[in-house]
Amino acid sequence: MAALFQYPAINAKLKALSSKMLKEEDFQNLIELNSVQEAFNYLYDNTYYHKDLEDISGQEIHRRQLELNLKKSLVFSEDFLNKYLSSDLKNFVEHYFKKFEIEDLKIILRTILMENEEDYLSDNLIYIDRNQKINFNNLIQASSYEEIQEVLKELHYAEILDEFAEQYQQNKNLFQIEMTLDFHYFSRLNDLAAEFSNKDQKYFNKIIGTQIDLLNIQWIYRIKKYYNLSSGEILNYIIPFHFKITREELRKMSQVDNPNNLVKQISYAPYQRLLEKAVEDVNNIFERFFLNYIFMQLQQIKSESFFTISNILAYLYLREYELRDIITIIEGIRYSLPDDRIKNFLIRKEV
Amino acid sequence: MKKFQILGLKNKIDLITEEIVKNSQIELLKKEKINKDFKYDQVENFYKPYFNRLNKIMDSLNLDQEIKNINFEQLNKFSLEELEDFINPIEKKINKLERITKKLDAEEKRLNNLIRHVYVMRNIDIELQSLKNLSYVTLIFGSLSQERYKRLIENVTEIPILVLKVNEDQERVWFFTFAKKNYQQKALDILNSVNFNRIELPDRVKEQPKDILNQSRHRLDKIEIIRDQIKLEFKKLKHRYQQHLFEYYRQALIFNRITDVNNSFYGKSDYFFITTGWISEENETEFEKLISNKYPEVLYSSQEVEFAEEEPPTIIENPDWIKSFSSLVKLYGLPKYGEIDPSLFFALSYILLFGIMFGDLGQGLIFVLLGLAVYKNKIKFITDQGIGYILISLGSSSMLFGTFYGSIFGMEDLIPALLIRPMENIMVWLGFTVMIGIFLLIISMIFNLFNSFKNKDYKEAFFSDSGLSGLILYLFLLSNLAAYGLQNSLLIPLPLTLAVVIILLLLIFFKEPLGNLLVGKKFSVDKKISEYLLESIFELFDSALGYLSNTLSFLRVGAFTLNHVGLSMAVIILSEMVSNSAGSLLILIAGNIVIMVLEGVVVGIQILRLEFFEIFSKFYSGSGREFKPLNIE
Repeated sequence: MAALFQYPAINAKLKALSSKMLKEEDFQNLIELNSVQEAFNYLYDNTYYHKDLEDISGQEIHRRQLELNLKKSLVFSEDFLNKYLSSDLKNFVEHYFKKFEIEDLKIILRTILMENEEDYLSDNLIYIDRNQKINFNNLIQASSYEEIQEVLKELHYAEILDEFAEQYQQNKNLFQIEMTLDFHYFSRLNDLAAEFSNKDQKYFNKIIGTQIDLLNIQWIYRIKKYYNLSSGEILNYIIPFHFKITREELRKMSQVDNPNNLVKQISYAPYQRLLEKAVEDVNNIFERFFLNYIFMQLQQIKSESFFTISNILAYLYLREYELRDIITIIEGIRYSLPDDRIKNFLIRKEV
Repeated sequence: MKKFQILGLKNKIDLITEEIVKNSQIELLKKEKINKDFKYDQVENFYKPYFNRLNKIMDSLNLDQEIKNINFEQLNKFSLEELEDFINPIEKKINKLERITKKLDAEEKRLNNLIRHVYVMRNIDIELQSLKNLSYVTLIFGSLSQERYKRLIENVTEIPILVLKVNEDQERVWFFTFAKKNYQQKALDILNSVNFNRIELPDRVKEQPKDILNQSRHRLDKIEIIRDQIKLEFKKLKHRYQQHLFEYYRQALIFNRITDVNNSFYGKSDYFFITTGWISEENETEFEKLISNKYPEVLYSSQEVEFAEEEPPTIIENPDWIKSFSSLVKLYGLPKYGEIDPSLFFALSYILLFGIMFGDLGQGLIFVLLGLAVYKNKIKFITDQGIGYILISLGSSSMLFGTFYGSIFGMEDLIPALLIRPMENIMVWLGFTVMIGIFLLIISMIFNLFNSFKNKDYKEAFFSDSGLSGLILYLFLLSNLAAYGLQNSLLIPLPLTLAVVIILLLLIFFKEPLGNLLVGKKFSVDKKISEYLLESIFELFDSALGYLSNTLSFLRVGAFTLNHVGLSMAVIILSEMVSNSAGSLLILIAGNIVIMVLEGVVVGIQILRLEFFEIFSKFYSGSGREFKPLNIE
């Protein structure tokens, strides 16, 4: 019953917003452009990104600046979503957006501790500056693990940073920290979704469950191909949730010797086909196959139900994928790739 | 409010910022559009790191950073080297102490962990050292969070190792791991992949578990003693450097702020800087004089800005007790520049209406007492003193009207009514409250007249439904109504009356073109005529209805007075139904609490509704922006 009051307003709003999203034709037009400036002009004049690009209009456009503004537009949708949501959904959506904060945090750790490229941070962080609990200036000026810890001490994942502090000093390896951050993100998301109604959970699994499945497959494939980790270690590192793969299958997958044999351990046919195709792909852009799979699912889901969380999730994912495609195109233009090659990198391009 | 611009040579930039910050009544504007030769370049703020370090030192030494009353005297610019020389030794000492503390923490943790492990074996009398050097089996001590331990147990099926839980609490699990020697590395890898916390046995232990336990506990005691000594060291440091620290902190703070301001509000070219902002007129004369005397080579210029072009910020100044009501006004919006701040009017009318609607000597007294408690910080979870002011003023008003009505804790027969008993004169009372409504409405229309004349918005002033035409129409209708009610005849003959009403309505109807005529334009409208006519017809209909509905809306004031009496009667009847006196007293008290909470909230909201909808819509746009002067914080 509650769902009857919870969703219609937001879903109607999302329907309206979805209709403004970029059409196939827009992507085609974008690909055919020749410079970043032209891409900017196209987005500024013809799409709903207009208002997000306003503050850099009239200047010389740099790729990074353009990308930053586009990415931020995605993050800003949190504000308007919040206006329409009841408190438990608000919690969920708020946590959903934490994935951008975690991405930011990973960038921060890598940049400050490994690469230290100047200005890279302020050009690439999209979400973390929205957090009132931290001092953004101090954050980008930090230069050591301790200083990062100090600035972020109010955040809920400060615990993770503390936990790994000692270990980091010993092996200077961020791998485990990043895995743990992801792990916590998905655990918390799962916990929040456990409160959902059955219908909502169904869609949560269909979208986020699928994503976790595919992430895990991708992970195991990479580990098998490039690293040598024992089965126990693999199982410890992957995200401990599964949707269409069983726990037993995950265990068996962790034990195979040759990455090309992974397919045999999966019983869910669509995943099987997907993995086969991905492994055979000459370009070796593994990730695109999985993203495309989710993208296709979303196209179906987005108009399936009006009284569930499906529209919200589908909208958020589709916005993100649209953005990734736009950015892919901009980068393609910047490095003057031929149109066909750019197309091959797009999530929406059928596999 | 005037907009000013300062242009000067770059070497004066710090001094000018200092004057602006010191003045603390000037708002600077960010990224104004200025001449394109000026760029908003960022200068590196050399003071920031020092300021942050000083901040950290003050934190470690538990010194309060009071920023409020910083004085700007004797800002002899110290060199950064000098600052470095001052900070460095203190920082080193603090760091050393903190390092020791950290080591102690780690050691303490290690000992506690060890105790947990060894405690399990306290009754075994073998030497632990021998366990460390087994020839076929490796023994690993460690701890993990509960959740990770569960994962480890699930996933550790492949390798021949044995994990034994020895102890646990809510969060963590302590365990032994046995592994064959040739699987030692594998075992460590998998343990590392869940980030386990390894606990090493101390190297030199030769003793049995019991002795290790004793030894560890002894060492924990020692750690406590060292901790006390460190605390003492900190106190010494604080005592020794306090004064100097404050002085350096003050200066670093000011220079840090100055550089920050320079970076965010100033346009710079090769040799010049430029900045713009808002300043109040009374403040300006002095500030301009100061700048031109002290810095003759800095150019200061200012101008009044046409209101339509740019909206100047509004300075909002009110005494404390009104400020608390201001926060309610802010829910609606801030006054636009040049618009009357309705806070005082709002506060007075709110208090008056609350008293009328909720007149009760006893309950009012309780509100006052609650308010006093809040004001004196006696109630912990309400820290906002403003709530205290509101409660006190509303309570007093309620008490006053309570004596007028002769009502105390809902009982109407204990004290005599000074003025009237509303329940016994219902129609008179309702009429009276409508009169109050009419009075408030007229005042708000007069406010609107005042606002529009002040802003030279003559269209609004003369022809709008809450402007002059509207006011005359409203008064005319009211007086006719009154005359008809009292003497059964109109003031002037019916045809004339109708003519007057129609003329006034027509004036309102043609507000747009008439307004244009006033400012010297043609008698025409900007929109399509058909569109305008349609819109105006509806608007006219709405305003005509509005006069009636807005007025009658104030009936609710009287209705709630009666409602209050009614609810009280219900409580009293209930209490009389109970035979024993303790029970009836209990019901009386409970009933009074219910009435106070329930009615208090409902009345509060109803008044807010009256204020926002009936009164504010007549004269208050609430579309302003607050003046935010630059200061040291």
